[in-house]
Amino acid sequence: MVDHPPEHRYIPVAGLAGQTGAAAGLISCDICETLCCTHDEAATHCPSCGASLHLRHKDSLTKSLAYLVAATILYIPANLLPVMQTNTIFGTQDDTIMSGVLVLLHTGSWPLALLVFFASIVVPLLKLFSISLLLYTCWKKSTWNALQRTQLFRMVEAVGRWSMLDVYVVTVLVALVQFKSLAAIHPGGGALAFGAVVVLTMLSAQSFDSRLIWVAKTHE
Amino acid sequence: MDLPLATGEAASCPRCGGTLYRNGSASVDLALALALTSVILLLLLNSFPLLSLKVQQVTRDTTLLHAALTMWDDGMHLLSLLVIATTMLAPAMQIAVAIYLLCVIRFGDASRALGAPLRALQTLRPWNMVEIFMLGLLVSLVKLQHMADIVIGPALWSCASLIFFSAALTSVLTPRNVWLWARAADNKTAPAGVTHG
Repeated sequence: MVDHPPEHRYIPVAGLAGQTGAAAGLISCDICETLCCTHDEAATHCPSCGASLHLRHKDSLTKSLAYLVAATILYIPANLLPVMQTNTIFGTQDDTIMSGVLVLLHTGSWPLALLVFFASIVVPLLKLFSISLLLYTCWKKSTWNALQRTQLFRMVEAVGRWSMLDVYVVTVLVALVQFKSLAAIHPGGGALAFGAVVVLTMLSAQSFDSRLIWVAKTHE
Repeated sequence: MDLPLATGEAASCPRCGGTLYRNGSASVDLALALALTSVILLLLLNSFPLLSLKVQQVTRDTTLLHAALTMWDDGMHLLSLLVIATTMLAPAMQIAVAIYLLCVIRFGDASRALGAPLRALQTLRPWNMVEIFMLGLLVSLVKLQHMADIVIGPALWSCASLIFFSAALTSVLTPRNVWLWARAADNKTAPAGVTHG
């Protein structure tokens, strides 16, 4: 099973314990995870899938910061503007993200309210803070808790998408509750801003190169 | 550089603890079966209503596309596109690319470039949000239960099962497995005497 095609076989195996890949002249391909040898000057592309190889992603911190700043700005309207507007015969009611959670707490079940609270309030805030922390420490080339910071980054990447929950709830409610004058729900500007925050923080996390967390340790 | 692993074991990074690869016993046929099941479920999810609502004598139901288009009609064009992209386009493209990749390995010439489809698959993965949409449906269900009678549509069940099958497909269709399968298929088709070992 461990049968390497010819182009992989010149990778030196012996005596690599404790070394980093960069120091040993090895790069793992971002796309297909093939371990590639960089001793050869011409080795700029992965022999398996043809993707270009990067020891670090180009302008990782700058791109990540740009997305993060945009997300932080939009986070304000996302929470202040209503995400949906309910028109009934009794009147009009505007719901923001937070009031949606409170309504669910009073009328629905508390476990579900807790879940929505986590997905729409805790996760976006956690993402904004975590990515800021990661960017700052990487910019300073800090050696502080590198392992914990890596784990934090992995968690941010894993849970980040779940904030889209509120956007989908609004979509389904708007589509279903359309009973002319009796009751109708319309989407509000907050939903758009919130969706943008989720997408931008996802892009920010994707642009961040987690290998930068370990930079200080390898070069000093 | 593979460490020999027993089935079910995983190799992890000594520095950060991240999982590098697992040694499962998945075959190309299993992955293809999962992908084809996902196609059927995806078609069901897109063609039947998710939920219907009964208020007095009026019934209103919604399909996935209809829900997104209602947002469009309400002036939320970007949001509507976002919903279409994450719940319809991304899953459909992901499964289509997966089937192409698996068919090339299984029936075609495995030495052909698999890089581009694999790259597409890795890029699409975070944008497929069917499981989050499912949770959104459940939350809406709870929010609506005080307002009206709700009938659960067939698409909701296919949505629930699609999550299961696409998660299984994702865990099987790892870059490492793709290369192992491609290599195995290559060795099988190579004429006797020409081996890569």
